[in-house]
Formats: sequence, C-alpha cells, structure tokens
Amino acid sequence: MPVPAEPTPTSSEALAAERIEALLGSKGLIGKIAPLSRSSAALYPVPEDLAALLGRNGIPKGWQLGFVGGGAWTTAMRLWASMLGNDGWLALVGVADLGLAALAEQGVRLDRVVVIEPPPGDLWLPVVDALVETFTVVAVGPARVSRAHARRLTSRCRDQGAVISHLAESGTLTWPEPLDCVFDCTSASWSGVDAGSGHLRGRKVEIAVRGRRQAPSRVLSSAGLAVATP
Amino acid sequence: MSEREPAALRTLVLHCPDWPLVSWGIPGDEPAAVLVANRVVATSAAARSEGVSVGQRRREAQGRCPDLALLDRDRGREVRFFEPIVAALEDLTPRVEVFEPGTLGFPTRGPARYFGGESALVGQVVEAARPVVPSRGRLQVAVADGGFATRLAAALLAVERPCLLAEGSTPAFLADQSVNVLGMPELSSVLERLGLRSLGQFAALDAGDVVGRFGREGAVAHRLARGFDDHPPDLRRPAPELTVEQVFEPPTNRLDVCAHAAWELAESLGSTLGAAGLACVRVGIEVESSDGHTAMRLWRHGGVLTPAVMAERARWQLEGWIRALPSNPAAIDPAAIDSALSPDDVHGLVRLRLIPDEVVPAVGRQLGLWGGRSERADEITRVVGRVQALLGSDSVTVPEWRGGRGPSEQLVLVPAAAVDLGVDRPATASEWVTEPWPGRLPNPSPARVYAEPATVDLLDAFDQSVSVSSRGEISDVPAIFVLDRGRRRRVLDWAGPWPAEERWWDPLHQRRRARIQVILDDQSAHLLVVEHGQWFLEATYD
Repeated sequence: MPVPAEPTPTSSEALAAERIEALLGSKGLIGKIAPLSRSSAALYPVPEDLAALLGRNGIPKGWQLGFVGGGAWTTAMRLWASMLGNDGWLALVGVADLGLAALAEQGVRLDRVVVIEPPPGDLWLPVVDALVETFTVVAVGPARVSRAHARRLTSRCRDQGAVISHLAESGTLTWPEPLDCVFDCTSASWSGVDAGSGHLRGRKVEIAVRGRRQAPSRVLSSAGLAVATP
Repeated sequence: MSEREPAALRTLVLHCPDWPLVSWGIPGDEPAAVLVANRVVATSAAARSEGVSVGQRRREAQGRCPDLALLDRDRGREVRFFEPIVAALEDLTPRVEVFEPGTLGFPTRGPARYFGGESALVGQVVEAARPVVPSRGRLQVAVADGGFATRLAAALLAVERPCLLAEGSTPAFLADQSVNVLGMPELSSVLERLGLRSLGQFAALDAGDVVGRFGREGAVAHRLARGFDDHPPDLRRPAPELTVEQVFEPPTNRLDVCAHAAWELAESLGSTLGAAGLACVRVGIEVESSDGHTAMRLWRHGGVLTPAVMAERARWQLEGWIRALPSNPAAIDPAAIDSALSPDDVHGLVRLRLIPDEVVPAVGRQLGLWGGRSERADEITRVVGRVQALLGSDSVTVPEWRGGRGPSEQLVLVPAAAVDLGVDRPATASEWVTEPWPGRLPNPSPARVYAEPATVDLLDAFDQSVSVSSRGEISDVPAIFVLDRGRRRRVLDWAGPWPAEERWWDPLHQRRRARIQVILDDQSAHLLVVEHGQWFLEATYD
C-alpha cells in the first residue's frame, strides 16, 4: 500500500496500488471477506464451566463434536440446552435410548425436538444432510460413513452452521474423520444415595477435551446432574 | 351438507386382511406381529388369539406370546406385493385407487354396467385377483355406498364370501357399528363419554350441532356416520396444468433420488393447490421408464392428502416399481422373492409425475400449506417432510408428556405428521402432566432409557438373588450385578425400592413391578426394575 511520505509514484505504480486497494481495501475483497468470516466464527453459547474448559465462549457454528464415556450423554444434554437456547431445534437421529425426561430437565425445550429412527445404511447421509440445513444441533449415534462422505458433510455443516454431536455407543466413536472437539467423560462420584435410603441427586464428572481444533484440557465438573426436586 | 346431496357413489372395495404379515409370507396360524418403533401395528390371527394386540409394546407382546415372530414394517414391500393385484384389476377398470397397501377400491357404476351388474362385477374381480394373491393371503370383496362404508363392509362382512349391500342399505349397516371405526380416537372417546357408542346414535345428531361442538373433524365424521363420503362427490376434473413433473437426466432407479424428487413435487403441488384454495384427495403417481413404458397408480387417503402424505405414497409406489416383482405371478412367493430382486434389472425412470386427480375446496388451514407462520418453523417442517419422504412418516416423531412412573412411560413419541410444528404444543411442557404419580421416581431422570431392557442378575453378598416382596421390601442388600450373564460387578451403593403397581383393578393388564437405583464399582449409576422375580436394566444415569 502506498505510504504518503514517499515520492509521488509513477503511473504504473499508482495503478498497481489502486488494484491492491481494490482487492484488499475496505471496499474490496477484504471488506467482503471480513463479515463473512465473522459470521462463520459465530458461537453457540455454552455453560460457564464448559467455556472455561474449552478456552472459548462457545461452540463455533459448523463444528463436529464427540461425546465418550461415563456421564457423556448428560454432558451432551447440558451443552445442547445452552447451545439451543430458546429458538434452536434439535434432531435426534438413531439415538433411541436418549432419555427425553432427562433432556427436558437439562433445559432443552421439548417442542423443539424431533426424533428420527435410525436410517438404513444408504439413507443415513441423505437424512443427516437434509437435517443440517435447518436444525441447530443434530445428534447422531454410530454411523457407517465413508471418509469422503464424512468430509462432504463436514463442509455442509460449515456452510449451514449446524453442529453435529456424535454420541459414542459402547465407549468408541466410529466417525472416520477427526472431530473438532471430543468430550471424554469419566463418572467420578455420586451423592444422595446411602445404603437403600435417599435417591441419586448429584454427581461429579471429570471432563477432558481434545480434538482437531481444541487444545487439550480437563476439568472436574460438579454441575453434571443436580436437579432441584420438589 | 343439505339433505338434497346425492348419495355416496357405489363403490367396490377389495381388502386383503393382515396385509403387512401376508407381504412377509406369514401364514395366519403362525403367531407374528409387525412393529414400528417397538409398537405392534399389525398381528396375525394366531397372535391375536394369544392376546397380542395393536398398540402393545414389544416386550408386552412377547410376554403374551413367547414364540411370537417379530417383523419390521416395510411399506415398500407391502406395495410391491400388492402391485400385481392392482395391475390385474386395472384390466377391468381404469380407475382403480389404492387406499393403502392391501386395500383398493373403485366406483362400480361404469364397470358394473359393462359386466352386467354388480354381482357379476364382483365375480370378475375375484377371478382376476385370485391367481395373483400370495398363497397366504385372503381376499375380501364388498360393494356398498361410499368408500368409508364399503371398506368397513369389506373388512367386517366379507370374511366368508363377497358382500353386496343393496343400494340405500348402507346407513343401516353403519348404524350398528361402534364409533371407534371412525379412526378418530380422540373424537370417539368424547362421543363414548357422552353415551354415543354407535354410529347410528352419532348420525342422529343435528349436523349443525355437530359442527358447533366438534368442528371440522366432527363434521367429516358425521358425514361418514350418515353414509356419505367425507367430501361431497365432485366430478369436475382438476385443471391439467396443476400436474407437476420431474425429468431424470440421466435415467435413475435409485430410490433416494426418486423419493427426494417426489418430495419436491409434492411440496410444489401443495403450494400451488393452496394458492388456488384447493386440497387434493386423490393423487395419481405416474412414471415413465427409459424403455418408453409408463405406469400410473391412483392413491386415495381418508382425508386431504398433505404434501407429506403425497410424498410418502409416491415413495411407497416408487419402491414398488423400482424393486419390481417378476412378471410371472406364479413366482410370487414372499419367502423366495427377496433373493431374486435386483434393482439393476429394471430400466431407469426418466420422468415422475404427480397428478392431483381429485381436488376439493380447502376448508380451514391445511397442514403442510405453509405460510403466515414463523419462517423457521416452516423450514423445519419442510426438512422434516423431506426426511419423512426418505424414511416413511412413521419414522419421524416428536415427544409429548403422558405421565407415568417409569422413565419410559412419562413421555411418548407421536408421529410428526400428526402435529403442527409451527404452533404451541402444550403437551411438550412438563406442566402438561399435573396428576401426581405415586411411585414415580424422583428427579433427576436417567439420560439413557433402553427400549429393550437387558436382563440382570442382582445378587446379595451370599450370591442369592435379591427379590422385592409384595409389601415393597427388599430381601437383602444388593452386592453383585451381572448384566446378561456377563462380568460380575460390585454394587457400591443403592437406593429404593420404589414399588409400582399398575392397573391393579384389571386382572389381564395388571403389573407389579419395583425399581431400585444402583451405583456400580466403575461409578456408573443405573435404574433396575424387577417383575416376576426377574431384574432388568431399564435405564442408565449416564
């Protein structure tokens, strides 16, 4: 870019500068790129303790998340409740075991939840592909998807802003591509139960995060389950 | 709705009972049930006699009849095996309409005149259909006034031999039927509470009062009860330019591609009709294949065909064509057919058309004619519709509170096709259930609730099975937990039991169960339920 203190540039230099300005200046390409990249960097809010764990204030739109281990499903529900807020929509694909009462207790609005049976193999991708177009969070169980298809779905999510949450079935995730962020959970301790009396009230979960776009970090979260009982 | 309205059209209905089972090649004397989302939707005669009934959960049905064969619902298969019957009848009359796989009908006026009377026509139909009905299927044929009454007569009266209800005698047949046959459970339960148990009693009400009290659904039901069709017959043909079509370039026989195209066509047809103030009650689905053949089927539905319903019918029909049966009808043995199928054998489809064959003025707001509501809800509805077109409408559900003690009973999943996602749904708020449920588990609720609970051995420190007495007392402290005869795991702590006695007044359906919470040595917490001395892993506090 031209600096004013310099001698008057030759006409060809002026032309080049003009071109650069047109490309990179505020009215040029940069001006167009900036708002785009800002919007794609927009975040879905997360609970405070998880924000500290992640080192950012939310989950970026278009990310692929994984949830593994003891307490993973509750952790996923807590995260969704915060991400969905009042207007987000959640699709559950092939996760028939998910406890809907627990989902509601974690704060997810059940009138924004749609439950879909596990699609047969060749229809899994068309179904999830359709859902990411408009749902905020799409939760999926284990899927058999080729690497190329997985990559295509990842870029679809980046365009649309939907976040796919992969729930591990028996301790392992089957997604063929690295996920942006994986929550490795370990159930640490329970409270409320004592040799026949009381009932489960609260617990601590140790959560570690890792992933393609996530610096490893861990935390002992106590906000796992406690729900006020009348 | 004046009394001057002409009577419903004389109609012939051919009904193959228990079609979902017949399409799987199950003989009626074998106990079998077809399931959708773990609930029974169809049963064989043998299963019914053992107490298995539509609406039961898988476990309940298996409890009634331990050697029950369980099958998944496959609408494409049901259409596929029904196709030869539809094709055979199309040789008799061009206006055959499929109501659902296993049931078809057509107006008799033209063909009865041609074949020399209704009973001669019935003979022709039986003769044409008999050779192409799978050996395990049965044929029930009836002629009466109007589609609804004739379908009922075919199912109830034509079991032994074809049934011909004389012109004008249909209302008398209907009058004795229970209000449940309307297929509108909410309406019939209100009617029963009002003491109106038969269609005759309901039909005797004043039409104006019925509309005032029950709205549009009530008005339609009242028409049916009096022996009219759900819509006044209107023989005007819809304008041909309403037809929508999709050309496939290159030709395709991929079901997902066709189903997606069908969805887009149904959607655009729905919005065109909506803009014109019309709704479709019968749709023609037409395909043209790359070898120049065309095929067309008419589908009718017990009401207005919303875009989602049209797209679903198109998907079933396309599956029926794409995975076609061999042309030799003698080869139709459901057990042998699957291996013979090869989608590569058929020519690709080059064109798909949806023809709104019969339209009526749209009354009230139709589901699926989107507009005037939140844009987001419309987008969600559209995407949900596309998924329904791919998977079938039963496979997309939404949760509603029902109340109950166990975690699997508090909420139910209802088909998304039956609700409007764009409006407030009070049953999705937990306050919807206000009655207290004694024996209900305290919060928090488990994050994983197993549709198919696995068996568990729960033992005390001396390896004796732990049991719960009828007074709700536990026999000893649970110490060892064995899932599905697998690894022994230590029980660190436990709470309960919570006894749950259900339907104690009903000896056939009563259940006595009890639940406990356990924490195992890996700090996982679970909910166990015991019934008849057997423990099950019902849920996990994941």
